[in-house]
Amino acid sequence: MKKEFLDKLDDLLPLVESPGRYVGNELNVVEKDITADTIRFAFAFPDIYEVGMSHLGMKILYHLLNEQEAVYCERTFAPWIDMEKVMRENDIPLYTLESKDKLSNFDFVGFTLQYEMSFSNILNMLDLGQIPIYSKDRGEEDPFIIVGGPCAFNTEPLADFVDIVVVGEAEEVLLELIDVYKRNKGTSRKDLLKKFMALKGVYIPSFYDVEYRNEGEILQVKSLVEGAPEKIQKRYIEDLDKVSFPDKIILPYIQTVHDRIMLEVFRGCTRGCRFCQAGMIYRPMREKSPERLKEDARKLLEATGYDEISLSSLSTTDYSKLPELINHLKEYEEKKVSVSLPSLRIDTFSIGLADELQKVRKSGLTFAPEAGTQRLRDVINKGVTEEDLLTTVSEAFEAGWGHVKLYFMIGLPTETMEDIEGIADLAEKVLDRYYKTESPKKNRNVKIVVSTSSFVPKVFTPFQWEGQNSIEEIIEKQNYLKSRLKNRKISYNWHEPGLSVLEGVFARGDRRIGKVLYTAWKKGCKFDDTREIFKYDVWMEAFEECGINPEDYAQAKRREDEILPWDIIDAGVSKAFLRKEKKKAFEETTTEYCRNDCSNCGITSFSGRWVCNDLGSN
Amino acid sequence: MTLARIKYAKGNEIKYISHLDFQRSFHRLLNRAGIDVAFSQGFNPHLKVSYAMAMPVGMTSEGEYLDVELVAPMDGEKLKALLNEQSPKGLEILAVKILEEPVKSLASVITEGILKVEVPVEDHVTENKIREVIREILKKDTLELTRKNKKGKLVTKNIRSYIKKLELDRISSNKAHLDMVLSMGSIDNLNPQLLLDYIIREYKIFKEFPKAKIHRVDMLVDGNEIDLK
Repeated sequence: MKKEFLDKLDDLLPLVESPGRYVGNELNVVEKDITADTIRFAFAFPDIYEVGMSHLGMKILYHLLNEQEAVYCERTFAPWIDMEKVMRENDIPLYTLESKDKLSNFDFVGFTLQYEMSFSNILNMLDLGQIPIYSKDRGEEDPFIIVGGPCAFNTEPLADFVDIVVVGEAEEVLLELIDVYKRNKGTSRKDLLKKFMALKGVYIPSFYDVEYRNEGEILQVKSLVEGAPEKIQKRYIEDLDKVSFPDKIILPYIQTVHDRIMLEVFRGCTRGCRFCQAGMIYRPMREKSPERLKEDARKLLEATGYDEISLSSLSTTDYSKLPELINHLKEYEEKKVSVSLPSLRIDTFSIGLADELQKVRKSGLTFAPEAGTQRLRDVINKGVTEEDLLTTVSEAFEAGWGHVKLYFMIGLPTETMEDIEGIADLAEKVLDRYYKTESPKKNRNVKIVVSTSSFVPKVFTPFQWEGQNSIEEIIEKQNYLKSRLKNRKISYNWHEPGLSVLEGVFARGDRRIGKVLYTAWKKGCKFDDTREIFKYDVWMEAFEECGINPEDYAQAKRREDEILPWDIIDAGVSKAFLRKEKKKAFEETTTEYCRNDCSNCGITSFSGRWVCNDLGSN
Repeated sequence: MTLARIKYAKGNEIKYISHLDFQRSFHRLLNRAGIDVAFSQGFNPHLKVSYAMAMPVGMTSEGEYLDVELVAPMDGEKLKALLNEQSPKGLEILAVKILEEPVKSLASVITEGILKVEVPVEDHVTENKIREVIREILKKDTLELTRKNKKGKLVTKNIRSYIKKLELDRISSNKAHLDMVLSMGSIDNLNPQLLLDYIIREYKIFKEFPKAKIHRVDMLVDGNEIDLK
């Protein structure tokens, strides 16, 4: 297969920033001979190389698929603006890094949906890959566009563009899909989709039609194909020890966002924060055994030569065997391999751990109180008190840290200016604790960074019916904080308000906003989460042209009894549980941590045989 | 104190890797190969590896050098084999010499680089024309180039003496193949691209696009090869 654009590429790459993004050839890349029988899967990450290559899910699925003899999985990423221009001017299609073949030659192109703001990049990549954007326009020769990841729990905004949705964890489903494809080669596209439909966890959006009432609510969802399931149940891996985890990962040359070994210690989280989608959709919590993790660590260190291991999960200090695992990993210390914890719980146990791990340099610590007052922390079920935070930061200052980051959300349900005031208060109290610290190890440089993101209601959380703050409200709250946080030692970062509102529209959007996405992409929207590139005004033009008011999606409250666009998905937590949690939120009462008391979220009856083992807390 | 002096080649597969990224990947190669490398002292210990010259992005080479300080003596051939076993595509270890006596750093002693350059020829430019231009350049006593220094200030220098050799080897498929030996190192340094830019600007015999392909054949110390026997 001579690819006519390859010579051109060699001449053009010197003209773009970081050409290493576009050439592949990294260590541990999988190479296979491509024959007529090879099932070709392009794993597409809708962001630049450095972001995509930091993603653990991609590494897992890449190696899992390539373990199958019949399959060759390759990678592709969104080209940065400069490269896209070069590609379009010189007729270079979007290609994969391994075989340098264009996307339209693949059997499957799989996009991972990590965040809503990457949707415009997906359309752009399809276009660059010479694949029809709308699924209805794809023919027998075109690849199947398959999506998965956290945003697959509501893919309605993408319903017109994607062929197959995988709901939940993809390891097993992907192999089943490949198997069905292999056994039915030569079958028509539509018949293949029908066969895929029969797999648990697979959703085919084009097999349904949604009818709306005049004022916008969904009237009914009709299936267009016999046997199309009424509910799509998410998939999850029961035993993480038995599932494939790569023992050789690709070693990028370019420094990626997370340029280290990532060990996945558990999936799910049982803290039950009411704003948190990951904590709901990844239930039940499943741990990996320390034995398996030790094995993974050894193999990956040998295969890469990395000198840092990060223990990744939604809340690593909740791992029940953490001390054992860390003691083991510390044996690598003499080889100068360091261990890092990406997420720290607000308690002194975590500080003790971090102190043990960061012997040399006390870089920054990050905590997420999420809200400025106890009342609001109870509303969101954060389960952290002011005293917890202040005791924890005091310990940190005593141990020699000076740089503390505090994460908050603004625009949470029931929030008033008092809660915003609470954020500033808390930051000042933290600083005050620094001045009160008396310790020989005290760091001479203190810096408190307050960072606020804007609350976005997500599907399958107790707040899925809630409205979002308007841009004006968000700006007002941000301005108030800017004026309040005047101390030289406290700095303040905030999120782009327009972007949060857009994220809110897509997070709970229905099929009607697909045309807004298409229109905005046509007008040049892409890389929306990059501040310098995000075109808020152009997005608003697109909404206007499509006759859709974004406020109806972002700020309007939804009735608990209306049909929601994502009702077709069963995420394992019951609607009754989410309603109950919402009610408790407004009563300002908390829900006990799962390990201490089951709050009956529905996951055990969903799975039929799953028993949440009481692993005992640390 | 044991030093391993390593000569290596950097092929097409990794020519777009920046020097910083290459350093990181070489350190990981040392880790994978299980080589016991000495660490610097201090708050932020790092492997003691020093490079003769930074490698510009886009360049290939069969004559790169670096020194690695080892914790304990080991056989050079064995070290070479261990590294080649683990090296990524496009990186080949060509020779290793173990030095037990302190030596001056490579970066401080290198003085010239031998280069092969492939550059597209402007339409209607003949071989004779190119040879004529080269003769004219070599006849000059002064050849002043202006460039920005590290601080961003414009500096003008006479670089005629930095051109030790400049010859046309041949023309094939509209590309001129040039042989050069240029000053390189910590004292006098002439980037081949700068020289090409000058020729393109002044004589218009070569095309600016596509970019010239530059290949380093070797590095020299006062005109002599580096001995790794």
